Amino acid sequence: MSIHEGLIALGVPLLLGAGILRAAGIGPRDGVFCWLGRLFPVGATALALVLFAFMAGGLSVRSPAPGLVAGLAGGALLFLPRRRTIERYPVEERTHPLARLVAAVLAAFCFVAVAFVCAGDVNRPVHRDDDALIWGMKARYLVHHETFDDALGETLADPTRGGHHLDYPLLNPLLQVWVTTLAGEYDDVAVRYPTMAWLVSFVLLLLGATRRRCGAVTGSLLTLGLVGVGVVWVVGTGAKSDLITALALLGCLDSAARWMDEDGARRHVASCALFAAVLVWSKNEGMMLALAALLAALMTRPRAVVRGLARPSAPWFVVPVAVVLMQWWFNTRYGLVNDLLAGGEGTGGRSLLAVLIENFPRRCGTIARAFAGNMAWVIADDGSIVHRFGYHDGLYLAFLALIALCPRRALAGSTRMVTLTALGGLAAYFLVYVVSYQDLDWHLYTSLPRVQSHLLPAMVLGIALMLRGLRRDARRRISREPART
Amino acid sequence: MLDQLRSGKSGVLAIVLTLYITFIGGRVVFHQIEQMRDGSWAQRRTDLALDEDVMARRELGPLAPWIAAIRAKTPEDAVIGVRFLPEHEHEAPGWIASLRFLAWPRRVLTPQEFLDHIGGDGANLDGKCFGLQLPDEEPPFAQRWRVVAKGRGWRLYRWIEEP
Repeated sequence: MSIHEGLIALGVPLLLGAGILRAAGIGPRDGVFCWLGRLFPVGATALALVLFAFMAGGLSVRSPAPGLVAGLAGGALLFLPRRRTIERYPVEERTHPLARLVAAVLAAFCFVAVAFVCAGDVNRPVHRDDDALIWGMKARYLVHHETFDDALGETLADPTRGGHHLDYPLLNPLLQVWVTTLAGEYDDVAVRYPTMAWLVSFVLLLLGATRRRCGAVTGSLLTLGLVGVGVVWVVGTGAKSDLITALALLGCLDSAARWMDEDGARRHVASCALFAAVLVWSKNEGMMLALAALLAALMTRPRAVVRGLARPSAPWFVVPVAVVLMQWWFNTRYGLVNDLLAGGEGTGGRSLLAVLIENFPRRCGTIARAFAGNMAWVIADDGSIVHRFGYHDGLYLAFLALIALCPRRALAGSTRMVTLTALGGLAAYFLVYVVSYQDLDWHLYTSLPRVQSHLLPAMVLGIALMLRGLRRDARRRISREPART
Repeated sequence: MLDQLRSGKSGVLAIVLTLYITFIGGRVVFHQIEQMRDGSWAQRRTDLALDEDVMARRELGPLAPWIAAIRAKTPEDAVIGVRFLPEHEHEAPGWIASLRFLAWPRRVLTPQEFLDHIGGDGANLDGKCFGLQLPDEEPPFAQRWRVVAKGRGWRLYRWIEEP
């Protein structure tokens, strides 16, 4: 892929993202990091929708038309006049210049780390693992057939072609199709580039979310803490969709928490809906986490959530619903079913509930040990405690410890929604392993750190919100103390 | 910070957490320096998470010459049967999967799938049929196969159609 093709590959989604954000009334005034971090995810998802529409309409995805349509739509949304609405923005706390400098250095370290990792992978072909066999293979099928035709169905049904989990959502494969059509042929290395753009957006979004909650220095430190976690590199450098899921959940929760904190500002509803679309189209787990987040929001502010859905900004929620319907249409058209929901092998046609009841007592201990082990430490067979930094570097443990130490803070206001989503997500993954038809040890070993990484940014956001609460408590207490003479 | 420390439990918690995060951040900086000094930090970090599997996926390893030969010497509608040595029993499924991905849109088949494809009497054998043979021995009906590429320990054959 040449440099100018690379610029187009990145430029079109960014332009489209900027246009859509402007149409939704989302600008840099909510934080520059946050706005920059939203550009690519929103634009890339919209671009994938355009590609999907072309393929579903029988138009070749190899033509320059999808790119032109996306680019023109982005330009129109960005430059055409729009109705002005009055939006209120929270007053930012003033930061000491020295703190600003320290925060800038820490943020720079985050990007240096990203640059190092991307540079290390820039020439490595994608050729195995889920990157190739799930996501890359599906992209190959789509590029080869160019439209959703009957021949694609034959390829999808042929087990000797090597694709796995063909029912998985199409966002990631369609972005690989975008890169491939620009490059002219399937490029084993260039298919990594969208993931790198997701990684940069992820860091920007996390910086924006945490700095807003607990100050520039602590927010940057938290981001640096997460950027240093080993599993982030596993999901952030290949061609898997796990990073997209993690980013989308973060974007969704960040927007929803802002919406709750800023008294229902309309732009946050739109942002939440757009990230919900990214989330449900990233992986099947994304759908599960979206439901967990919705449930958590209803448990936090039931009336406000129901009222919010009736407001003028609520039509944005058509986007995630449309995405779900489109994926359902594709899977139905080609008879693709989820192996877990379909029962998989060896379940003898029993319902998931029956499998759950039967497996729970047998598997509970093993899964709980694996979950606990992933926090940071694990008890080895000989009883010694083995330090296993490198999975989640203790951030997972820090989040749970903070909940245990100050539960009132963890369940106050918008923090409650984030806390409940993260805990609900953990519970949901626990149940997935209980009903899994795969060999449990193998399934836990190959996937647990990766799928738990979906929740890690949400946990970091939860830590930031709890720190904000603790700081406010402390200030309140100090202001109540009598002056000492 | 000192004000927060004075304010009791929550202040102490905030400081402990900040120190903890600083420790993690410090490790990132340390590893950055280490990487600049002696190689890929990211690679070693990911090795911690997924062990040798991640290590292996980072390079094509033995696949590289086979892929190069397949891409250069076979048409896009080729059907390639792959035969491995018994000692490659564990790696073979992974290699087949990678070959299917990297040789796309060519079809890469296991020995049994290849036999199914050509039929019991070999009726479907034609010029599109290739064989990637790892054992250093000749395939059945050796006179009908022509070597189109070879390397150390492997050969790529093409079926010769009858005139």
